[in-house]
Amino acid sequence: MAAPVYTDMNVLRQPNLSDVIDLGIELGFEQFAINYVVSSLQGGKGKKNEKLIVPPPAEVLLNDESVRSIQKRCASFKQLSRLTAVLEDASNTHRLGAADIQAYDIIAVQVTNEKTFQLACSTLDVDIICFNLSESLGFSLKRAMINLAAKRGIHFEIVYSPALQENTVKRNTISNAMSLIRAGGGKNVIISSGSEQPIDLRSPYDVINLARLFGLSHSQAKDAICRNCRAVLKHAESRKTCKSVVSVIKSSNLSVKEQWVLHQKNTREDSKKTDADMDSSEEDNTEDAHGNLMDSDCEAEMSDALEEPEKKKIKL
Amino acid sequence: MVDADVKTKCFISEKKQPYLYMKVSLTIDGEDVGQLTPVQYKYLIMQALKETLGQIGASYTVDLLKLSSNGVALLRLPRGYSDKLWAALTMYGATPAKRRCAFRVLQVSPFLMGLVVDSRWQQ
Amino acid sequence: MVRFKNRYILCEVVFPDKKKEIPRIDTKSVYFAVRDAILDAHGDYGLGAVQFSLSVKYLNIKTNIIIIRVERKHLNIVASSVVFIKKVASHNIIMKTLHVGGSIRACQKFLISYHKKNLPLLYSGCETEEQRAKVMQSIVEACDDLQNLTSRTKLTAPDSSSALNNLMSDD
Repeated sequence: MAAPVYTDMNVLRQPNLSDVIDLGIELGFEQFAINYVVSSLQGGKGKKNEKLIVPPPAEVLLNDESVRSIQKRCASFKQLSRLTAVLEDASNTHRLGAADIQAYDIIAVQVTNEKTFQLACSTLDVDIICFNLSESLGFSLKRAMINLAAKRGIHFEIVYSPALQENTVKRNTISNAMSLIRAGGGKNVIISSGSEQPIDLRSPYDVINLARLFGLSHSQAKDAICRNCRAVLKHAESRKTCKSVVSVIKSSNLSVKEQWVLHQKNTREDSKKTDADMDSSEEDNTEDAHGNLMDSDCEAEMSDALEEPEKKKIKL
Repeated sequence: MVDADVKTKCFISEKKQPYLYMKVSLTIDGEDVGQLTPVQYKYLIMQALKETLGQIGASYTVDLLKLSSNGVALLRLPRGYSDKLWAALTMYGATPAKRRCAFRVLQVSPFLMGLVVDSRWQQ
Repeated sequence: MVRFKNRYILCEVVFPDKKKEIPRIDTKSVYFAVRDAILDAHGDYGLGAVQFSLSVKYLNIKTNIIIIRVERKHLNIVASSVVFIKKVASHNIIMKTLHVGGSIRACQKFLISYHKKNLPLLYSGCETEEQRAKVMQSIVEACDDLQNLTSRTKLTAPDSSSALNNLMSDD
């Protein structure tokens, strides 16, 4: 069994980001999603013509140099770009489909009222739904809606770092997290720090125990920071592919691990063979269509899947 | 780290243990934790319990067994409530003087002996 | 589909101070007293767990009976904190838990039998027949109130009048 990969799905983008990540690695996290928050999908307030400007993911992420220095200490370190859009109303949600937003690895929406919650659960093509847990939600979390979102492979996020500072916020966070978990049966929940300072971070085992306090079982609590995060990544990946079945990338961008695809293609010029390859890849990938990998109970299988190239790439 | 030559022995206890031992490190923003006396350290722990679990939470006996100079302490918690007490320590984020602080649990074991070796970082 | 299950705690508010005038308390002040007691006894976790479902469903000023609703899972938190309530809106009080039921109806049933048992005690304080009638009247009114509360949630109440008749005929 491979060691679990602990993921923190929410580290805010700010100047001392590398300090936070340094400490996070020391505590035992391996993957970090760096969060860029957009307060409104509409551009400037009142000015309809002004368009929302989203920085490309490369600006949000750490630069290559610091990544390399971190990877010296922790070889499996990985950073992901994440964009969180606050939905005030149902308008402008088409902006989520735009290329500059889709360039991010993970797309999340923060819902503020019942209408946007239903919209996000039923139709929006996002990976994570998060709430402002520090205040009372103001609407009830319907089980049917949560199940619908879970079926579509969307996960719900609980952020714990605001709860560390103030008592009222802590109380509301516990209350909201408990009602979220009660309504969803503990499935499709991820727990992340949302930290701005290193002091907000807690170690993975602390987080697992904290999740137990919210009402998750032990295995669900562990899933909330490893397996479900992986499912989110799968879901995000499937968004970028054609019907979650075929993905197209440039042959020059293939990683070393996947070079064998090219090799095979070069040695056998038989085009029929590639067709067969395509077919088999179709079969392989249909099951990750919605990132619902966590349905499979066998963890060993999962870890095997990690080792193998996730998708067979087809040369352009 | 255990030396490769040393033979390790495995003991399995069927009996339910009454206590949980815990190695905790405390960090306070902009303050030297090494200066804390055991009484102050225990006070912070009690504050943490009282905030999240109230008077009833603070009534559980948490023993501070040992305090090292770098803010790392050994605690003994009653087993039945250990997960709530642990969570209360995790949720503690600000000292009474409004300084940000963090309790981070390094190791947990039902035996005091178990804290000698850390299996998390053992390859 | 799993039903969301509640527990209803039936309490009597006892005023230890012997005073002539009846202290005025309302649902809101009782609610905040319970809330503060939970916060003190069980902290942020206790209140966070409970605040979603906690509510004071019923309060009768004449008979000093209150019903507190809470989610079944967290009954312990409320039941143990209610003991620590000392004051409601600056009145010294003692909370006496009478019964814990799964529905308001169950609490009502218990309450009727409880009143029946305590009737001689109340009557002993009365000197004239009019006072007795007044006591009886207020208890019957209280039971009616509660009846209305349950019938709002449940339309069919088969033994509504029979329970009261039972109470009336017994003395």
